[in-house]
Amino acid sequence: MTLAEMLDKLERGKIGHAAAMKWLGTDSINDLVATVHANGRQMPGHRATAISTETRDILRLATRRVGLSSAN
Amino acid sequence: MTRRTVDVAVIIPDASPVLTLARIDRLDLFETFSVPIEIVDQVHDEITRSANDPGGKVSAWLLRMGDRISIIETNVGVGFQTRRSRDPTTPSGNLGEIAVDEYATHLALTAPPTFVPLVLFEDPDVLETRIARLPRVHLLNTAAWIRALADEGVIPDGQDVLDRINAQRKSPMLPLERPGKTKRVQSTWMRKARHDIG
Repeated sequence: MTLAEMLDKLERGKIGHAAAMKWLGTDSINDLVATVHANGRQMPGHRATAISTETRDILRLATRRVGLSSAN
Repeated sequence: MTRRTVDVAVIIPDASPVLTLARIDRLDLFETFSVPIEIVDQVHDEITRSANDPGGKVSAWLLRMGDRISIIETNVGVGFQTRRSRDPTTPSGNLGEIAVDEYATHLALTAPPTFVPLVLFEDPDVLETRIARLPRVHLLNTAAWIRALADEGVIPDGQDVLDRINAQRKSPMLPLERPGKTKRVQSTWMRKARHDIG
């Protein structure tokens, strides 16, 4: 199992923290979380760091809903 | 109740947000902004340079956006163009950052108290520049912007966009934001500003 496969299984809840830590050879949950985040993934059941209310407020002021083309 | 409006403008002080979205063909995300987008001339020069825009996507996008994007003329940018007309090999160095500093100085001196700069960046050095110290400034990087757009339901595919961005990078782009500092001002003008929408 590669690191990417292990992280994918962890993120989808197919394996638990203990199995992931064993695979990484660490007994530190902090190391596990750091590895997960460094690879652009989230711990299972966690949400990414929330965007602040202030930023969401200002974006609400500065944003409109449009039909995006996504072809450019 | 006293009503007060705020003038929000998006300022893009480095080339990366535009080039990042150009690489994944999602420059259309800028169309979600209902406020002016401002880019200084020197950064405009960087994003349209053939080395950075080989397929002409950025130039086509600028044409499409029309006057929704303002190219801000600076003495730095005009000076660079003059020198380059004499010697095409003139390096641009870090003139983009200096041009943004010039514009930030202008804003600091002339912008009304209702002006709220929303700075969209990727280069962490921006956090150390004058534009990051403007009153009421909100700073956010491309990842934080996309996540906020998704959180607000403006775009349905925020995670897909982030995955595509990260697929092109050595390390993932983590959301980074620095909201305006003054809570009191925020809670006052934000609430009042909402009454003025629509």
